[in-house]
Amino acid sequence: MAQRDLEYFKKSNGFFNSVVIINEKAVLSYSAPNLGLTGKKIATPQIVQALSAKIPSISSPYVGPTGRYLVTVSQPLFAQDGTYYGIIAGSIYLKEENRLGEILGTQNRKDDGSYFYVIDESSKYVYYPNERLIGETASDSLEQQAFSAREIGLAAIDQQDGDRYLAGYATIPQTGWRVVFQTPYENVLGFAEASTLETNMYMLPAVVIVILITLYVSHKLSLPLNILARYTENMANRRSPKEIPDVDAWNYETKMLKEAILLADRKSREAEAYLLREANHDPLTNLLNRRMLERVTEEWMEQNKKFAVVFLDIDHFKSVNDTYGHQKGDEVLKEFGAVLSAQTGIDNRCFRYGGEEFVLLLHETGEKEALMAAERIRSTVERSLMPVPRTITISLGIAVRSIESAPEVLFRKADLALYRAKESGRNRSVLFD
Amino acid sequence: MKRNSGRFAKGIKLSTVIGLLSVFILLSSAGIGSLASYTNGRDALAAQTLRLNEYHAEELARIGSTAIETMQKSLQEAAAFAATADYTP
Repeated sequence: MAQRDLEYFKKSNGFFNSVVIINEKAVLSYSAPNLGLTGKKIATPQIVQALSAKIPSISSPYVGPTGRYLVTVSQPLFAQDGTYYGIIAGSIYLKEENRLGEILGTQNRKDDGSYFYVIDESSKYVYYPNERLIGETASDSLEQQAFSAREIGLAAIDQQDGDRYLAGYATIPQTGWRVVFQTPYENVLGFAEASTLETNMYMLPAVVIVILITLYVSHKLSLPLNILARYTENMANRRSPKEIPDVDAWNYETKMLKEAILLADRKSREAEAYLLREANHDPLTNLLNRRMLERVTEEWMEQNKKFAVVFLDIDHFKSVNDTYGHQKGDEVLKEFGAVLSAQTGIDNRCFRYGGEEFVLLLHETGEKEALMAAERIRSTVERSLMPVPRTITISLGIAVRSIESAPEVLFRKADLALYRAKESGRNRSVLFD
Repeated sequence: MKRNSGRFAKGIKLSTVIGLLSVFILLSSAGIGSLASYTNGRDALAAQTLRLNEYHAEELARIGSTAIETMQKSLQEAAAFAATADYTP
């Protein structure tokens, strides 16, 4: 085989960076391109082993006589009569361009940071993105262990630098090399985070809308309760407004609560009015009682009103009780109270002072008007039909307020006038002077 | 409610409680949902990446193997051709 044929062969297939013929004595006969080793003995273990094996073989990566890191693919040469002449060997320089390097040594840029590399059976890098590491032993024992079991597989490996990789691997059967394709786990996490963030950004408007709706509904739900709570607080503090609270009771609980509160308020007002009436009125005659007399008199004095006090006493009332009994006596008092109420104007007040004694407070009344009013009442009572078969007469003592500053003083004057009316024969009106 | 000098002590408004509770529930649900979604997505992505890497490695090994086989055949044919010629140095 001539040098020309060898060069033609080398150019035609493109797999090998160099092709050599080495005879059975390990002397290089031809090389394409010319390596400058023609006639020299090639004693590398890989070539010696290929020569002695006399079978097709692929060497493990080694540093050749030219100093390159290479792999040799060899084929024994036999003549037609079977004579063994040596080997024809193609060398693949692992750090230079060739067709195998285009397949196993060229990285395609991937967005997720994935890359691949090739290690041989002794865990040395055959191809690696960082060319300087080719020929170096993979330092990571975890990595070596991960790919030691099966021909193909996948594994998550934690490298000694702390980075984690998701790796798939497969074996090239002719060489026992492992192709490892791996992706940094950190990049996978980054993609997962970006995906989650994107989903959250889509969800964000919906979440905001739901929050706003929730706040609106909670406001609508609690506003009636808030109004009712304020109304109840005011009610408890006797500051309850007259008008019914304007509550939009659209749900069952609020509606029931509103009705219950309003019912309680109404009952409370009724009870309060009843107790107030019981405290200020005489139960027999239904007139105001002595407590109210003192209070109203004090108020009128504080307001510096002009008014007259008339003390009334039923003449010989004891004899009515003695003659007709106390029940009839009470009926007389009741009827007498009714006559007094009828004779007292709207601006005036009528009180039962105690026993058969009564008091009138005549508003804006002078001595003359008071005396006339007293006489009118006296004559009316005298003419009135009473529950007993006898005429009931009364005596009246009148005092007009001038400079008195205390009710007791005015009452004493009126009482004194009444005493004089009794003393002077009863059934008459006497003005204190 | 405590009574204090004729006035009732003010508590937290119902609308505030309901509002805060709703916001808390909604945000915590969204947070838990996001976390679950992130965890599931991460695990699914990792599993998919592993399978894809295994596939890529297998493909590269297959192509590499084919290339080596072609080299060997090429050398074999060259050796056969040499047998018919005078190739001794």
